[in-house]
Amino acid sequence: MSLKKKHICDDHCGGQDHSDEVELSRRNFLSMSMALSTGLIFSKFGFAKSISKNNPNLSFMNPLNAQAENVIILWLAGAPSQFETFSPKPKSKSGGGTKSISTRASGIELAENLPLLAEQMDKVSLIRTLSSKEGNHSRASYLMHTSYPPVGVVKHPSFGGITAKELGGSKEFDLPYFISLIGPSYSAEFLGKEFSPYVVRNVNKPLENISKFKDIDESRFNERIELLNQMEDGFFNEKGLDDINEHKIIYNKSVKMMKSPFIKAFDITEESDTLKKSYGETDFGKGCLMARRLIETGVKFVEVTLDGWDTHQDNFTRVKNLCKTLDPAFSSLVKDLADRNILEKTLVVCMGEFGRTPNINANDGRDHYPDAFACALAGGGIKGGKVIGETNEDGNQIVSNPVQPENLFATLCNQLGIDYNKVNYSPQGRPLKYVNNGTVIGELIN
Amino acid sequence: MQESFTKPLNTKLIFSVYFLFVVFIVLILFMTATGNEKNLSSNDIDRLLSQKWSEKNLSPSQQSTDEEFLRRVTLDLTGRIPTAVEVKSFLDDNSSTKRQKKIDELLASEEFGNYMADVWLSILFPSEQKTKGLPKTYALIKYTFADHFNQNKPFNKFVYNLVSADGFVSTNPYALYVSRFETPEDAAGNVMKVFAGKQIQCAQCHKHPYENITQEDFYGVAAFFSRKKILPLLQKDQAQKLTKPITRMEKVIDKARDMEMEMSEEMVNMQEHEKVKKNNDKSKNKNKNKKKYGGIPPQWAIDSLKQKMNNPTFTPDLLVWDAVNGQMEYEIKGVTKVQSPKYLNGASVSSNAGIERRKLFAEHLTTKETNQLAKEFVNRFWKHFFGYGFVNPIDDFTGTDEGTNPELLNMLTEEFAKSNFDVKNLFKLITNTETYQLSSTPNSSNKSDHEYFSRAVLRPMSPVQLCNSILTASGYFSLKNIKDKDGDEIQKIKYRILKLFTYTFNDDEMNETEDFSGTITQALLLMNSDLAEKVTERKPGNSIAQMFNTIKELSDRIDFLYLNTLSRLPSKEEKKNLLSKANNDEAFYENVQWALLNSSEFIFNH
Repeated sequence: MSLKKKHICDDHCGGQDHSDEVELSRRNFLSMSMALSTGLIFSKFGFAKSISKNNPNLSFMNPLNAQAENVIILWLAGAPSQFETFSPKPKSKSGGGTKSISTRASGIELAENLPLLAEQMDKVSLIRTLSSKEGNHSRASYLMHTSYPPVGVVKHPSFGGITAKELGGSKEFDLPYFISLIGPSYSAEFLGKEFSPYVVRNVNKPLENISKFKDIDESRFNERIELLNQMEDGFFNEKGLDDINEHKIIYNKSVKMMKSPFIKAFDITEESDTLKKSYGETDFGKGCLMARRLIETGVKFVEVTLDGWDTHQDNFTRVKNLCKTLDPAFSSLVKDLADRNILEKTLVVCMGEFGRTPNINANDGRDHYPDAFACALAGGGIKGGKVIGETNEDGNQIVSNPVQPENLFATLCNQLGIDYNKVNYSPQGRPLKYVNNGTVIGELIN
Repeated sequence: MQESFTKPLNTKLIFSVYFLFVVFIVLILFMTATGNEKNLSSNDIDRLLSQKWSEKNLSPSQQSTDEEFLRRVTLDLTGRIPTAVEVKSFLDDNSSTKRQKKIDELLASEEFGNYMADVWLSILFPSEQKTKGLPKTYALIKYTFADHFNQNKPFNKFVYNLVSADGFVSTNPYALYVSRFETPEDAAGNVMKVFAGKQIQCAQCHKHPYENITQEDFYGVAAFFSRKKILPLLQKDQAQKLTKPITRMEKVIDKARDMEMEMSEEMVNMQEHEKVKKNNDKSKNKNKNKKKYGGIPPQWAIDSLKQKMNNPTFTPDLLVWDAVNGQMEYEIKGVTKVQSPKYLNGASVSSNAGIERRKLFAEHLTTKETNQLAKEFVNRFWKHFFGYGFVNPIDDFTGTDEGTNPELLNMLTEEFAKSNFDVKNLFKLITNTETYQLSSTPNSSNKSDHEYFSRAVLRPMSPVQLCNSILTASGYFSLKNIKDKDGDEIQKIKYRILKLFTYTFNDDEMNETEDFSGTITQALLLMNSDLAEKVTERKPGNSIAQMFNTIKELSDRIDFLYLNTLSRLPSKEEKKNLLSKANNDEAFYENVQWALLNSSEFIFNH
């Protein structure tokens, strides 16, 4: 890992100065090695836990302190209106007439569209002041999956890919560590193909193509694999190119998955009828239930997508209907995880690309609004029943505690015991930290 | 000179002949002068590429074998692997110009246009949209696109058609492209990215981080798209419900349109300003019916709609039109602003009513911005043929980045623009270069060369290519001369497969993902799907069945399987190895076919 003075990135990224990233990495290297050794010593005496508790930014010193072991993202594609979900403004015109309801967490109100979630708010916290500069769907979606805005040539590994690699990584496991249900999510890029999401488009047919042909028995299947391996070796001998090896890795993983007993995790039919009903008979509801089963099996990161939130027209009816899907699924997931005593180990995050405007447009809709938007968090050591940040009565100004997306990601990494300042080098030689200079939101975890 | 006219006739004759002679010489010189103005040749391209190799201490790999060349060029120009018959006949051809002839043959085939249509469909309608749309509609667009490329109409005309299209999608399929954008911002961002290679959407919320594009600049472009409206008619009663508002609206329109047309720009802006002030004063204008159409439709749109509704047979459709009036409004920090249309780095356009903004923009893009249009096309299709563009990502030209071979890129750009955007000519030039025909086997100098094209790189087949190739290998369908009955069946199967692939590979509007060797989903599909079963097991009518019927020798059968799937004959070692395992059992051949289908040699365009 050479520390270059002149950066290839100078030619590619529009001259943004990265010397600080490289400098930091040198400093980081020293401080990390010191910290690690100190941490190892201290952990013996239990100091590490108290140090990392009071200084969240140093928690990587003691990865044993990591509370969360996996992540479930509920991705609200299209960007949900905060006024009709997590940040109602019943007293203002901006509220658009949406009423608010009290919840199990005293002092926190949700929009009337989320009554079931209201019952779980003792376990769920809100950030109401997420703020970014990206009001374009694809740019903002990239940002909210990587903590970086897209910058030309650079391919940032997604948070899912990072989690899969750091928490799963080299340990052999039959299923992919990163699974995306319904939506495509984002690649792990140079961290490795095996950490990119395995996508299940249709949660009603999750095991499509996982079993071999009906009339092929085990031995014949193995014969075929042997033939295939011979062909692969031959082609590799001829070309000697890495692409061929990667192909082999993918096939090995796929065959492993085919033969694994763990694929039962995709099958939600064995769950009780009452439980299935509580999640909802919707694809999203089924996806949430599947996500719980998957992380129980050992998958580290599951993203479930609910699309349709881009309500430039007809905001109020559409969001109300979407919440009829979101509310039971989200609340049941939180309750289910808590009932099984695994909420502590599972980070649940519910969010979209940005929020929507306080101003209601001519089509009864709300437009894009990255200036102040909201998300909900639960589990993984996140304290429930808290609100980080507040906007004014009209919801068009942040009054306290603006939160940049990178701080959300730093917090999540912290809970997972991932060093969010860890530097990797892209294939072009560019130093990239896991998270874009974020700091942990202490109030969420202390 | 006057004297000469009084001289005898023969002198006049001499002078006339002399005069004609001079004219003749001048003409010859003129013609040879223009004749000498050389058009670009494939050799020129090779020359500029090899210059870079010397600079970078790279030496080119060997030339590809006939098998490799045939497979590669058939995939790149018609989107499928060659059939076993095609491979054999190419290998048996002894002429020295067979590669050139093959290129001409492929460019002239209908499959070229079909494949280009698929390529543009996946650029213009990324995965998400494809799955929500009506299959019949996409079939319609595909034929329209295919026609354009088969007849080799100019590419800038293609762009004009797409950007300016209006009317019912059933009669003008091009209109489906703009119809998918919910906002003018999205439309402007996509058009500029895909066709001009300029990613302006960062400037939507703030000044572009590294280009000289302000928020006003961005909205100046978006303003051209701000009057676009769509009306989906998916169900019969939906159309019926529109009758009343339309007749009511017509009365309003008749009055209002005349008024609008006469208003000066200033007055229109003042009106807009008043409206904006009203909004900011928090008096909500809840006149829903009027606003739902958001702008006065032109008469032709009303007429088209009424005609449609009077038609006894109802077919789902989508109407796209530009309103007669309406301005680009956007919000910064709670303040609503209005932006009039303005070309990027160019002139402003009046914001009056009645001006066809989108058509003007299409005109400007395809006749005034020809250099940028040509450059983006060249870069995009250089990647198509070589795996990497000169500039990467291929649709992101920033101010300073001219890519890995600026001289060559500019030369190709000029050629393409000068030729009136002749696509087939450009492709012919590129595929006839020695560089395009290099092998992918690396030598000691160029194993990691991804920038200077000193060897071919391994490119995974695109979803469309994979789809077509599996169908070809299956033997069920010939993609040449598709018969009607088969046509529908093929469309359905392809649609199903593409849905699966494109959703897992591409993101909506994401930049191209480079360097991927496939995913688990694809592997599972090729190993276990119904489709894979159809290709690899003996089923009535498929390749394997045909093989059993027409070929009897074990050795010949192995040859066939290789030709059918990998487009080459097995090597001596491969044959020996297989013969040692073989029995003349059906199961054996099916195993071999299955392994071939799942091999990286199949999945890669190499």
